[in-house]
Amino acid sequence: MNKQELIKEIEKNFIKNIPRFRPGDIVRVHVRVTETRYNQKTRKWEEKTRIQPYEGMIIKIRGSGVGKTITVRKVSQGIGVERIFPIYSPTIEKIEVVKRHKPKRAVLTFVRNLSEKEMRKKFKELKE
Amino acid sequence: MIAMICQKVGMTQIFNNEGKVIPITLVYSSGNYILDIKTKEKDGYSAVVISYGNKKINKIKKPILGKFLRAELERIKSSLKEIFSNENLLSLYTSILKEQDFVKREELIAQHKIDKILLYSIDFFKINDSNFENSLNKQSMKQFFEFLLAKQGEDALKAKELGVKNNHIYLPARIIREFRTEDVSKYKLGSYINVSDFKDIKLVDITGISKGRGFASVIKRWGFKGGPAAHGSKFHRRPGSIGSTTYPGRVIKGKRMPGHYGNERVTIINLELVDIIEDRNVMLIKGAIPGANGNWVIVRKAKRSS
Repeated sequence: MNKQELIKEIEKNFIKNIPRFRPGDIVRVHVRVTETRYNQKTRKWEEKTRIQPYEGMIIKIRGSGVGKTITVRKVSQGIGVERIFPIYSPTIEKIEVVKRHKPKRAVLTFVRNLSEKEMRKKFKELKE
Repeated sequence: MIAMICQKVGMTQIFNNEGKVIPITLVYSSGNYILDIKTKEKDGYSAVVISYGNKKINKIKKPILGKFLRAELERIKSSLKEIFSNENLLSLYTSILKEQDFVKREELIAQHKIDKILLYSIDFFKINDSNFENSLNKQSMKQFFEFLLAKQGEDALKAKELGVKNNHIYLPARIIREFRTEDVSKYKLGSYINVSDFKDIKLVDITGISKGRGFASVIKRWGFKGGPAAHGSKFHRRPGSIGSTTYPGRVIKGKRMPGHYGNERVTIINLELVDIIEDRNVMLIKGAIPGANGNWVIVRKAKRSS
């Protein structure tokens, strides 16, 4: 018995094909959200699932295997929002890479203190 | 199934249908051998003795080897029945027995994962399919075990001379444990308990030896809060006061103090058995279990589940 092989074999069932990304990339994460709503007509609580896109910059990639997560930051109505996604979670429909950047760090927590102008200066778009 | 001796593999995580993460520990066991069955009439109580982990036959102590004598008798009987009913298997075994070249024979055994004890038993008891049950008894088994011991030494020497790898004769005797149970009728001497026997069980208790932490102080061992790190404080990780003065004039019994921590038998109760992967002999258990990866653990059906 090989320890690592056994663990990998179990993780294999959950690992999906996702595009390659790195810190600094702007990604759009499509999350499946379940909402419970009260229907006035039928007078019943109804469950509804829809797909909610969330777009922002990857500022941190953590872990490996099924436990891999990304931290995605965006500025929404002037307020910084950071969400952590387990990328192989079944609630994540897909991940698209919108824009690529080439930052000089692996963890970009310093962007929290940057203004928009400084951001533009620091992050130049990477063109293939 | 009452219990099983397994090996902790390591931890990972899986997602359930709702997308929630479940932390899991993998527990591996290729099958536990039923070494002895104790009954009320014979021993005053009823229990099952199971063993796991290969040990070379020449390394096993004599009293334990004696236990194996009876169990192996049963196992050889039932296994031979299987071999003689399957023509392909039978021809394979006989062809290996006829093979004169030592290196080739060992290679064949390794390739087909053949049990050397069964192989030699066909040769030793001069079995032809009609009368093998008569030639197998306690007396002849004793001689057979002596023969095996001699053979183990012989084969090892030969392999060393030729400089090749040798298949040792193993018996599952690394770890032996006894478990009490009222009903022993469903257990058969010399048969195996597998992970698939836990199919209907939802909650398990797991016993293992926790990781040793050596001489640990109160913060690690008892979860004391400790003092401030800075602002001129000189009190960081000390236990502080351990009692009053003249009255009572002693330290109360059971006062939590530094000392040896870990490396003790720990049982975690009511852990959820998430899944069983039969063809890989693996159980998935929710949450953490005691000990380092590779440690022996005992998996039991939950005793105190509500």
